[in-house]
Amino acid sequence: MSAITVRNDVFQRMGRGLGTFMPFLCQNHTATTTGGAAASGFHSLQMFLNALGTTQPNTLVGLPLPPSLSGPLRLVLSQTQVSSARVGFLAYFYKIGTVDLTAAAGSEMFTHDSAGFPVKRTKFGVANTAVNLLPMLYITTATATTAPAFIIRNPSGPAAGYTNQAGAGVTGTKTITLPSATTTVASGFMLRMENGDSGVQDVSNIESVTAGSAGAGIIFGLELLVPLGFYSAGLPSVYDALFGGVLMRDLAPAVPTSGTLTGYLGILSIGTGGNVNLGGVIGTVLDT
Amino acid sequence: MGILLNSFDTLNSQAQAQGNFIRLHFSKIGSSTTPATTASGYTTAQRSPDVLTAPSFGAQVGAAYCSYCPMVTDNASETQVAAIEYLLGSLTVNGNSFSAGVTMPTKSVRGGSAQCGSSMLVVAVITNMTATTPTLTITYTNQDGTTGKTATLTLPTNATANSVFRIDPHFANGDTGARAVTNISISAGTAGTLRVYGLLPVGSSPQMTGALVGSADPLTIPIVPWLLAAGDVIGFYRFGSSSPCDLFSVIDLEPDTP
Repeated sequence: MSAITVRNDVFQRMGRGLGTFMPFLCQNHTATTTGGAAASGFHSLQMFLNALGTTQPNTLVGLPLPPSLSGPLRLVLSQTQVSSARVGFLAYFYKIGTVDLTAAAGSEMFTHDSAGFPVKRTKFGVANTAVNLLPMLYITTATATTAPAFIIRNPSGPAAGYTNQAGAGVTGTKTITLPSATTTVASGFMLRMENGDSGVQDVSNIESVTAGSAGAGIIFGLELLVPLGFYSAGLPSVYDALFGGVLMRDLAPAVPTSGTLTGYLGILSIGTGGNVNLGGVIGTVLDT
Repeated sequence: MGILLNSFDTLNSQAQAQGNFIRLHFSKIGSSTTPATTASGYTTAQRSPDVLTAPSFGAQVGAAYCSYCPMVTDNASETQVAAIEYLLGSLTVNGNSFSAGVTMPTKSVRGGSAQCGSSMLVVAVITNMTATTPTLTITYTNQDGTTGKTATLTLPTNATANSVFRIDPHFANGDTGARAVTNISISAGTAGTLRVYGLLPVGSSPQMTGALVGSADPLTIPIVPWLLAAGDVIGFYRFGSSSPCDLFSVIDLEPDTP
């Protein structure tokens, strides 16, 4: 069948089974997460993943898609609802590395994942373009006694700690302090980048400023795919990618520079904590 | 097939001239069903045993279009889906006996004729199973007509009637739908019957809290505007919960022209 050129092609392909209609249920799975503060990046982030199989913070299961498709699987529709007010984005959570929040002050606390970054996909007609990601700290071991603090930079020098949206190495200057001495697991925080930066292509180093007596986390790079909704409790949200937004994003993950990428398709929740349910349906079309 | 969906004016005038079909549909799942796992669909689901059948048509009506389909239960944290369902095959567990069903139909889709593939493919438990973590293998013809493709699920032990498991996440590589099922087999078990349905959704309602319905008018969202034939069966599915429920829906079918 020919490729999608006009909108009616989308319906024709969906009618032939070239696409899926996917009901889903996502949860954060953890009753209490710690809200963000100005020094931790302002926002309270949560990672909503497939309700079944996920046991946060250590067993993560993304939303399932049909396996190994022959072309992009494009989002056509989302129709969702949530039981508590928040903002939701359909997003990929790519694991960049892990942090040891007990690392001594002045020492390196970051270990990069084996997958090579940046992750890439076709952008504006250019294949293998680096994807800009939103850096997020996800707590996997609760902190204790002291709120850990850190800066995104290489303690040797200091030198660059991340690659920004333009591909330039950046030596962070902003101290990021977790909002509580007892920050709970599954809490998420948006890492503070330098003024003028809007994303990272990679993170290479993080320097400990204040060590916690306990604590660990994962640094995820988030690729925001589409906004699902600005939710009020119980009110539905429809995202029409075909007629409304013209954002028929490819739901396949980006490709790492090298190695095997660990990534999860899920929903980024911004705004408030608590374990709530976020679900609905996603309609897709296969674009071969 | 007719021209109903060419304009809202035609939709309205045909509905006024021929009369629409509207039903308040009630169905009940009286006992808990079996939750899914990541090896059996990823999302817990149920199928109501109560279905709705499209009526016979008069001479001036060629098909029916579902223009309104809100659904709500006395529960929460779930999504209801109404879908035209096609029984593609069934399995009697005792004896591992397969019965062939129908092939997905050819339908008119916005001016074109499409050999349909399933938008969703599910296996529904019709009678209680006695089987310990059985492996279920579905052999199917994919959306492009390629035969002999297989999907494999590991079902939970002793899945109960009205439980549903999505097959789509377990498709063979590259597949997104199915036209037909040519075999179903199970690795273990002594009781129960299963049916594989190919689904074409006509309505959906997320319901994450209380009785607040998240349905959207099908005319306003980009889903395939499926045309129902006389006698087509609409099934009611519930994703996200395994608890008993009462499910209410309102189905409004508008008449298409011959």
